[in-house]
Amino acid sequence: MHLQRISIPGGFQMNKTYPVVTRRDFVRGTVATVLSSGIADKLHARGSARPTRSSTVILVRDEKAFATGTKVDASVLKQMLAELLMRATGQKSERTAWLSLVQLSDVIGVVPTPHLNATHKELIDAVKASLVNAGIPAPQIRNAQGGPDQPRACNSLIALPALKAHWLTGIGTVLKNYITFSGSPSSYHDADNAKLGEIWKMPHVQGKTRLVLVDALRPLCDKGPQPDPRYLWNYSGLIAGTDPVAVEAVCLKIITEKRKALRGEPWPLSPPPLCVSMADEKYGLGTSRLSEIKIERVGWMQDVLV
Amino acid sequence: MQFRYGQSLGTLRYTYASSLVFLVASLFGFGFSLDAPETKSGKAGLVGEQHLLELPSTPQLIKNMSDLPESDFKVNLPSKVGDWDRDDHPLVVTDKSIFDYMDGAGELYLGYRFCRLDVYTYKAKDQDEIVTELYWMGSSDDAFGLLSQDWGGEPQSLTSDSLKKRPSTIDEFPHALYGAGLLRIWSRNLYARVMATQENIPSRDAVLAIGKAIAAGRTASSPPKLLSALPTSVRLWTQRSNRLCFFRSHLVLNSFYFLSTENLLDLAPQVEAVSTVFDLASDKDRRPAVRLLLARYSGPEEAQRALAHFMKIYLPEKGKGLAQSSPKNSDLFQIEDGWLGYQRTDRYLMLVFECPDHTTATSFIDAFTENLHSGRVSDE
Repeated sequence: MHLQRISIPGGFQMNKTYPVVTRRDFVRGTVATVLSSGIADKLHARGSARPTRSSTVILVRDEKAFATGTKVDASVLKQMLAELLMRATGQKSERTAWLSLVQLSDVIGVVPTPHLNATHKELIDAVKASLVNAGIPAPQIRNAQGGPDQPRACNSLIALPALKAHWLTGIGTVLKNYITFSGSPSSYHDADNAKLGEIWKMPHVQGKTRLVLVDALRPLCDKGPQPDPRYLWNYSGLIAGTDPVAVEAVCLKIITEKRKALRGEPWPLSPPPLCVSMADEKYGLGTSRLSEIKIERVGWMQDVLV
Repeated sequence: MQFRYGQSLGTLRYTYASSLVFLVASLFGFGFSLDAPETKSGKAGLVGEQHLLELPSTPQLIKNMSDLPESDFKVNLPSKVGDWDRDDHPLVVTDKSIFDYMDGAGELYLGYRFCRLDVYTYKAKDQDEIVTELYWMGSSDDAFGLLSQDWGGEPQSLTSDSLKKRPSTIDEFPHALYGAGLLRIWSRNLYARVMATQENIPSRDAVLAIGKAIAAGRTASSPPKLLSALPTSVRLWTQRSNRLCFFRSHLVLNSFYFLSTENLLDLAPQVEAVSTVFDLASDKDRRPAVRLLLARYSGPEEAQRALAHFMKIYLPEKGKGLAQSSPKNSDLFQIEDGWLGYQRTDRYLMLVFECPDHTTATSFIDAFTENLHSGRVSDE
């Protein structure tokens, strides 16, 4: 077992301790236990028990989200966003929805994905405009993607990743979206992707995420590592929830089903997305079990995949 | 514009790079000519005749990383293709700046023997950009490995001697594949990606014209010689060559067949490895395929060490102590997902996974051994 201390700007330190996971652990179904416990004799490990959780994830789709080809229709997107916010919060208006999540005095960091299948600018703009309409002063809304100083400067964070597979982490959507907040992104590549949930528990990040809102307008279902347009498709959706792991689990299901549909046979993500079950089993950030997630589907249902 | 990586980054720009290149080239006696030879490529009227630029990609800086001749680091790109005009200066990405350009995707190229990347952007008034990436690699095998990441797409014939067929034998792998606006090319030690952000008929024509310009004057090369050690069929099992991948890094291996979070097979730039799957020719039940991994190390001791490492982590219950540090040269085990077999011969290590029974695993080992002893396998 490796053990290494890594210093993060700001004084936070994390233990780099990871046991080796092999293919056999997946076949046996003992990955979560192996990763969570780090015990040496993992051959005899069994699935861990944890209290039952429940989460709700909202999926809104509109087949008219794209005006032509890959050009987003901003007016349709605005309606989708309003619907999503009201459903996610149970509020009756977009304004009250935001105000149930954030305070008027908050400095709000919007955290989009800048690389690979980047978050659509139209969605970033729509979220910012919606916040302003809710009464948040524009100067208090900032793009918070970047190093640890970005979340430190914010009271509230809106995670705004785009749905995509990733060649080093299996899936690279919700949990990976905060990788730069660690101050040491490369420490979470390869086998260390299992520890991505750790970033969400760092003092300058923990408890600040008010909403996870995934751009599923045009997801990328193969890992890349660079974009291949054959694996992009117009799903025309937005996905949201307050449980980052549940949202990630729904995203993972969509990607997995799309890959299966493309090949006509199972086409598992490789490497497997260790970070999702770890975020649940070890870091307790939410539930990764679809049986514990209520998915509320709104709008276009063709090829919904989940 | 969907793909924003690489834009406005602090990566070395051509203007600075070229100064360094010219300085180094002057010191080593290289000269650069901007008077490029005529191109034979491109659809009539699509490629502009003017100012074909011979890219100064061959300075000693990268030539030192390869034994290849200077001519293998040259390509001619048109300055105009259809409605698109090429930027005069490429973005130059080195192993030091590759993560700035493409984030963690850089691990893929560093997993092969990467020398340098030149990125050219073609712009048109009413069309989205076409990005041309030229990855200069240390050998043809490395460029082949990058194309072998995905054999999907429509095979393209970019030169008269390139093959357009889908692979059926090791000599018939395509050199270029196109799909949805992206053209990927293996041309000797060059791997290229030419991508139109928005695919339409003009952009497709332009992408293919750029591809032909890249391939023009560059002779085709053969797939890695290591592939000749693979059996094409074993009893009723047939190799699916569209799942074959050549690699040197465990990150690349894990991206198509997850074995372990640790580098169990001691893969490294000096190691050659190939993986492929075999399935039953007429299997209506679509039973899981058999996965074969083959690695060639720098020597028998390295191969033996890799085998011992694999045994210790992957099969910890199959013997302790001496049995793990000095495993037998050949063995078979039944584990959770079927029969696993391996054969270590000289500096070769072959492993076969997910065999349905003992007999099948034995047959794969026998077929590999027979191939090695038949003299068909080059040990270069």
